[in-house]
Amino acid sequence: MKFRLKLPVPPRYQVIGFLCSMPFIALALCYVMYHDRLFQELGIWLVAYPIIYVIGTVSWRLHYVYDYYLITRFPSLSQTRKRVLYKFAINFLVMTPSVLLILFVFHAFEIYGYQIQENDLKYGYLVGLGVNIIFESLWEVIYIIEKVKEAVAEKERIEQLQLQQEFDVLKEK
Amino acid sequence: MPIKRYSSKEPVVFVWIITPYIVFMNLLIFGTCIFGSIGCFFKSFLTSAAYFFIIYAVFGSLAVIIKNRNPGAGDLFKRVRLMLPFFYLMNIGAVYGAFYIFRHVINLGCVPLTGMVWWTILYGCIMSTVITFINEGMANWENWKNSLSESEKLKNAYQRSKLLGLKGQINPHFLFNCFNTLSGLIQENEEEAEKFLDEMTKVHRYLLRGDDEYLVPLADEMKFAAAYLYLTKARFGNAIVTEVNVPKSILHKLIPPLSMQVILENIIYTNALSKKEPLQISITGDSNGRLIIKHSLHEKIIVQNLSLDEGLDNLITKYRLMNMQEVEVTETEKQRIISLPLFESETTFA
Repeated sequence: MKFRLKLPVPPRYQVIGFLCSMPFIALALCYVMYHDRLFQELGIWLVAYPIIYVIGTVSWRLHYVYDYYLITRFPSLSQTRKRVLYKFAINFLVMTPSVLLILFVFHAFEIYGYQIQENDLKYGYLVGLGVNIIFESLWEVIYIIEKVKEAVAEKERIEQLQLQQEFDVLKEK
Repeated sequence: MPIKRYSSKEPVVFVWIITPYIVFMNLLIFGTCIFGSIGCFFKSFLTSAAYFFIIYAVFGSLAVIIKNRNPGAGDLFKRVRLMLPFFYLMNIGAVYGAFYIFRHVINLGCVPLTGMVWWTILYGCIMSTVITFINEGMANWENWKNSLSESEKLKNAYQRSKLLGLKGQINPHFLFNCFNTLSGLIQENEEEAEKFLDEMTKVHRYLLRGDDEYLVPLADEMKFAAAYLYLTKARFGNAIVTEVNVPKSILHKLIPPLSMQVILENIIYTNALSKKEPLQISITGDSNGRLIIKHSLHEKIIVQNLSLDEGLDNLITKYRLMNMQEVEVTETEKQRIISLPLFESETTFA
């Protein structure tokens, strides 16, 4: 039997969010690693950006896999608290390992002479935390708005059914 | 002037966020100096809290103005596009203002770190973004809750209206059949007609109770069934043989009103009736607490009232609408068995 792993596909707004935020996230991480050297050596941009983008893409898809799991496991209104609380775990499960991977890859290959520092771990973590807090709250807002739209549509459908039912009853009298 | 709220949950958001927000803000402005003494920590905390509370009120008022102009759920990105640039500019002003006040106006014992101005602004911008999203989430969460609650009420009203509609379909059929039977009896046997009229009164008193109950005790329904069968036997004589033996233990259970009328009418009018091969109807209960109606089958070539099957279908639909177990109908060559689930006394519906 063939086993195929199918990753859930992120919606359009998440693709846009990723494309818009990645340049800033890459800039922040490059600044954490190279400080002012970043603005003096063009080579750092040319090498660091593609590497961060590749790891960032994998990290983003893993973020979405986790988010998708949460919204399918806890989809309802009454499960909002649970869904939001579990979202905090994404920082430890995906974001922090991704930032650490970036720092260790740059350190291991000594890209432009990078040597990992204790402060880099701290600031790298803060960058990840900031990104997580902003985007996870935004995705939750969008999820809730989609649910509001679904609930309003359902309400309108029932209103229509009720009107039709009342009409049928009157017709039969 | 009261501060306008973005959502009814905004004060909760404010209370949850303000303490960590101020502590981290002070840490960026003054560095670890604020932890030098408890007095210094609380003095800086309270001063910053008062200052940023005013700033928050200004931000909040702007947010409310933008939201009132773009209130739709689909306007999220429009609102955010308008709010965030304003908030970022206001954060620059607010942070510079804080640094100025703590350096030149209020002496807290700690000197603001000039080199941290832009980090503080960055922090302020990130927090403004997050607070905006949280307030948006809270406001829409309330809308979601209200919409679901309204949908639930509408669903109940719809089911109620559908049930009453089904009930309305049943009553006229029975009424006209009774009048036809009575009309025949008056000419044949006056005494019998009087007794028939008494039973008919019982039946119609039951029918026209004037309330819209969804469930009635089985005992009431069985009294009705007995009167109904009397009326029917009066009309068809020995062409119908009935046996009613319902255990007392299930008489307290509940059943949708007029279920027996629908079933009996269906049995009587879809089978051929003759003294030679009488229609046998038996009403009993089973060990699972269901009401069992068995009857012999006598094929009728012409069935005049095509809505009889519809009546039984309506009863089955009614059970489904009430989220009950299914009505089971099993048929062999010579016999049909209808098994009706009974509701427990504490059952509530709608």
